[in-house]
Amino acid sequence: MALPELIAELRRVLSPDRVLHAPSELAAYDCDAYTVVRRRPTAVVFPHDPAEVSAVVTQCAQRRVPLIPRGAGTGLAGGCVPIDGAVVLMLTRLNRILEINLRDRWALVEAGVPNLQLARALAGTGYHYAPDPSSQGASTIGGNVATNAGGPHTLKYGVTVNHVLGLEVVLGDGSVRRFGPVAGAGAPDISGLIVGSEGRMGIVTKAWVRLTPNPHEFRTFRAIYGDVESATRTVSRIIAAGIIPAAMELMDRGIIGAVEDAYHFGFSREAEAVLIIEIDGPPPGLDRQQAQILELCAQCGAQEVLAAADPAMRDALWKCRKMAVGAVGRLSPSYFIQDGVVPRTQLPHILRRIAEVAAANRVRIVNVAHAGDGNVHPIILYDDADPEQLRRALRAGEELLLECIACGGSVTAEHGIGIEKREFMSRQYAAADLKAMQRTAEVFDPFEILNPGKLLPDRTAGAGAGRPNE
Amino acid sequence: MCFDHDYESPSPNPAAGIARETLRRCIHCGLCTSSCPTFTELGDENDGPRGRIQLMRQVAEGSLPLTGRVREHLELCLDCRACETACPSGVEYGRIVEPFRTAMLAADRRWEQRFDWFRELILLRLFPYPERLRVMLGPVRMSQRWGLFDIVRRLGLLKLLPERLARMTELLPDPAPGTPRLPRFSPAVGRKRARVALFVGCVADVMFRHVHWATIRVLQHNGCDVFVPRGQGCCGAIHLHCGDALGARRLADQNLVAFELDRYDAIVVNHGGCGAMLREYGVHWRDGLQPHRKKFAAKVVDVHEFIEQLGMTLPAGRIDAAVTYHDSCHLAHAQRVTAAPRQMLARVPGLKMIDLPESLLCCGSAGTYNLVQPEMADRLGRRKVENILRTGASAVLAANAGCMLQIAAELRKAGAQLPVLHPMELLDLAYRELPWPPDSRATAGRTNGNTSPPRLIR
Amino acid sequence: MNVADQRPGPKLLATHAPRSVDEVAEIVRCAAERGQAVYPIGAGTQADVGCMPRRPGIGLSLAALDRLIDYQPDDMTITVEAGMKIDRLRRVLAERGQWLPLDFASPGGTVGGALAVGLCGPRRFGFGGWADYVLGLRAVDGQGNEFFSGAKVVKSAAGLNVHRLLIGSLGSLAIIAEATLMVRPRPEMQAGLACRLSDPAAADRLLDALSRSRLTPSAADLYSGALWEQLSGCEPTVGPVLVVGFAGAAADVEWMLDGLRQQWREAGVPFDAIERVEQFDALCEAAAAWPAEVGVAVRPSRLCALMARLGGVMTELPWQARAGDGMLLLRVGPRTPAVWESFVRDRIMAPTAEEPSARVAVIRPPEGSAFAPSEAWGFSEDETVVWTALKEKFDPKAILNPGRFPGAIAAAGAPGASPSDRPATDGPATPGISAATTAGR
Repeated sequence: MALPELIAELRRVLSPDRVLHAPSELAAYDCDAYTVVRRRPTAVVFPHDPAEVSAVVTQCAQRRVPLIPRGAGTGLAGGCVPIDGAVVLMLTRLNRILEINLRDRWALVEAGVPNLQLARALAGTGYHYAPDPSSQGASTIGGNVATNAGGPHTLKYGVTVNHVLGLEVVLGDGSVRRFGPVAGAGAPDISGLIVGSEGRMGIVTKAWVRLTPNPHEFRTFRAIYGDVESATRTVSRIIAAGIIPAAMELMDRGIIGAVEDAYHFGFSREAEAVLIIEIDGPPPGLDRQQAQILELCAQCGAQEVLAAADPAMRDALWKCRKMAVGAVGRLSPSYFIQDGVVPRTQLPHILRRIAEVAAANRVRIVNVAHAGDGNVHPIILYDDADPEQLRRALRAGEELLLECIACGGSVTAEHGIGIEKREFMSRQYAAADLKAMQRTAEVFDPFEILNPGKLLPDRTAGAGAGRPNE
Repeated sequence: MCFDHDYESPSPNPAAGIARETLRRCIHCGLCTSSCPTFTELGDENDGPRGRIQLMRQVAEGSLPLTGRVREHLELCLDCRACETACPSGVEYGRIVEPFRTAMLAADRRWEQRFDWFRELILLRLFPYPERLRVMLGPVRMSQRWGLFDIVRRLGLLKLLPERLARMTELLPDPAPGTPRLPRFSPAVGRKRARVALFVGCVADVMFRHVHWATIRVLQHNGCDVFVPRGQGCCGAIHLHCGDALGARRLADQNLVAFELDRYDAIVVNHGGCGAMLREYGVHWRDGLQPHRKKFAAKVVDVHEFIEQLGMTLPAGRIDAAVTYHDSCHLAHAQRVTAAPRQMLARVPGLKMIDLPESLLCCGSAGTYNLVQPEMADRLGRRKVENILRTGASAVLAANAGCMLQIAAELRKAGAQLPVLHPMELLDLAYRELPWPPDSRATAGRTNGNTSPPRLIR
Repeated sequence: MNVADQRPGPKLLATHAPRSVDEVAEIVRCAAERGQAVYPIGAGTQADVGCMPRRPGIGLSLAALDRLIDYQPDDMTITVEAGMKIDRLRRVLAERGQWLPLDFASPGGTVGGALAVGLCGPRRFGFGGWADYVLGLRAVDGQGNEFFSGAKVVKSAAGLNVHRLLIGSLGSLAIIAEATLMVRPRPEMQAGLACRLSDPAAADRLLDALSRSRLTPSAADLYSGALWEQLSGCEPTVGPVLVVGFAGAAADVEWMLDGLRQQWREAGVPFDAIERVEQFDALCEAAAAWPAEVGVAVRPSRLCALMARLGGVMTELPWQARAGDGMLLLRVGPRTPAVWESFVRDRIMAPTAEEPSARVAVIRPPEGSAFAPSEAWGFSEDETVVWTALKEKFDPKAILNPGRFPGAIAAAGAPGASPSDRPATDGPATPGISAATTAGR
């Protein structure tokens, strides 16, 4: 085993205090926010700059030891689980915002900068970075890039890949390469290819991200429904009317209860579904859109529609939505949050199926959804002390994802494949599709050391590693 | 909610008393990480809330021995509780780490016989006792006034002192003119709206008595009869955080006796750290006095929150200045008071409030943290001061003694001339229509409306 | 209607018109076996983009693959075959009040062709480019393997975005056979304001003010006086013209136009220098259809500085510039190949080299010019390395559109990687970047 030698080399190229290898200190890196699979890494390293990242990659490449880049570790699909004795490479110390340039409409940030830190740095400039995943308080730009993170506002503004102009990446051979940010007339979009590759195509060290002008005004509404179908019908009707809201978020009765316990926002616990609808834009057009939306909500049977009176109330509404998933900790000792997507018009169908699957597997499932995108997040509750419950919960999750595929959708909209869903890739894609991805990844990672066993199913690496802990 | 750990009988497993549910409530989402000052600085899960909970959980389960490295990670925690504010699942991190560390330290003392003179003599025997502290500070004050201290500081002669003692001395603020004792009673100005007792504490009373004077006058202006009960002492937080739960309880019970609860509408506290401790009297021990301690804790309220609820009287004076406000951890995270001080200050005519970047990130003071974890405390202090200076504000406000000392010391190191004030001091100036920038004498001992010694009751 | 009709191109030994993706794959597979070049053909409207292929080969027309496969207006997604004409796609969408917010060089072109060329127009600034509207692509690689990348829904994080590589790579990596696109509701109104300026520096000040304001334009472009006259039919002007447009609800557009007019007036623009552009949609199409020969990409804030560096070129040639995106497009005009080439090298490439963020692409080199693809497209070293390796993976026999786009040609016959340049391998060298690194250097 060449590992002691590797650790010695890593300590040499970094410094001894930036290489963790004592078992007691490695335990915290067993998993990310997906806790079903846990594995112990060989070491954890803390490089300070791209050159050090490159040095670590080179050391691991020489020994064919897998390497896993990690930021805040908020991933929900186990993308950071160190299977096969991987070395975890922490990007948390690359945490500077290097440039904010309004005229070029971009910011240059290091990979370890938390999304919210960038948001705060932009406050008052009139611009913002549009992707706002619910984890944005902690998750890093590098992590957002790796998973092509979304969030509630993707309906109008798109996901991370639509907001990345360029990347500096350390590839699997240790070379530091830069793609973008100035797009040539006919140059292919290589940075766009790397976005969403979950660390398989290089370790992102810097990103040039697009800055979006702040909307002139927001109107945020909360509509309450006596049944879920009416809420989903509203979503379809609004889109059919040619309105693209900034966000349309759905929460069902189960999650509303948890949110109320956590934040006492004043949602009725009797409501079967709540929609949060936000429109933004210049003031003149908003009045008409607001009237249309109120009309459509009423037509679809909303019991009550409340408009946020001020920014504080808007913030509170969004806080509640964004913290909703975490509030589930109040309902159950363990859960996992699924992430599936169906064509928007299939939303009523998939929500019905979720209820059926929950009943059939005797698990409780509560729902939040980026309804405007057809992106459902069924949250499956279980007690991790009971292996039987865990098995039923996993089975329910699997059935739901297969249903998403059957509807023409995808097994993940924004969380990524990670280790959790890699077996589903061959259900969603044909062998030739996966082969094309595989070949593309090989170009960037010739020695197959960058997060192997994640995202793509056709490797021997990590075989069986997707199994839950015993 | 009561949590059933037992400080008085430390066992080899420091997590023995922590309820399993409390530990298991963490669902490992990681949303806390970026709120944590040490994770922000070091980027290591072991120095973040999620990782520390995992370490403690594993120690609790017996799967991880309490090695030196594990201890270091847990000792590096500031206990600022910013993670509680960030946690969507409602994990009460403070109620995990505090008993764990208390037990860890106590166990350490009992079994390893590790004698730490600094903790023993300075933290536990000197700090919490205002009279001892005053006596001890006497010569220091004298040399400060003669300018000797400044020379010493400049020459770096402080380095000759044992390191932690030197750090403590570095933290000392510039000398303020002798501040008279606080009056036992100061009557409301105008219509009487409440009767309150002011908690004065230890370090706060010695080094920040002028803040107490200002607080009394602000309360008077807001229609409060203000009592300063004699016999009160340190809140006990220092003892508890150093692993001396018994000492802490002794102090708590001293306060229980000093404050006759039925006489006051509230026990008002102006420093975040003391307030947080007093508000948790109801959860730290298990003996017959607990119901009484709970009743006491329920009466404790932060002065900003109290005046906001009462309805603040608008000050007559104007302060044309731009200032920034730093959130004390134990006010913002432990007591969830962030809006009230800002709202009060925003009402001062002429005053402009500039948002402080990373306001909710600890300044590194964290009780006695800056004395026991100097390196991290310095890093956080520098970060805080950089943020403060970036705002361009002409003063920084903070409602906690430790933060004020730490920020002032770091500002001095950075060569900045920015005054550090308690919000009550600024409000006091506005009520008394005194000029800005403040003259240090203005905050000296004088209650409203009477320059003669205050009328004493009893 | 194939590439050969438009200009002298490669000698086509035969032209096939497959009726299914399977047939496309079969044809490519056969060609690959024989090492025969394959030239995908759409409507031929942009056959002059890219370098001129010389190898004889077979034409592969996608004209017969023109079916509408699926259109779900309420999901705002549409799936079409690559041979579908742009104007038909637009009609289909318009019936449901929707559109694809991109500027098409030619309505007679095909969807596949437009994607393969990948060039965008003025409204890229406000709406994004092709890549932002492509949800998934079905394609056939250089070995005849058919694959799909992406998804049919508006949001998916499953797998790698291989399809993004096919946009703008002129069919040199794989032949696009089918596309799933995201569509949007058609805006109620589009209009803009044009402002005649004395010099580019004046434009810089106005653009700076625009970036600090709360206006959200769909386009912000500069035109040379001559080109403006040609595109808009307005009276001739000497200095450049700045055109800023908006799209959205009529009330919003009017509100923004008012805001912009006020901003310009405050900046001291004389009243009679501003005019309203009613037919903004048509202007954008005309601008996109203008066959630029050279494109210089630059960070937007440096665009005016770049124009200053180019000096006399800016008055000699007609040009337009996407001020928001940072792209200057020029036409050198009819000259002999040698003169054309030396003009581009000496007058455009040389001064541009002084501007760190800028890069030149020769979009439409004239027949007979000596620009090799790698030079014409202005790839950075990092891009060359990766692209060469990708080409090796997707089209190892280099049969797809050879010579038109950068690719494996340069690497063929290059010395292998020296072992010291990469981590020790105990097996045969993995074809990947390492091999390419040395080849590229």
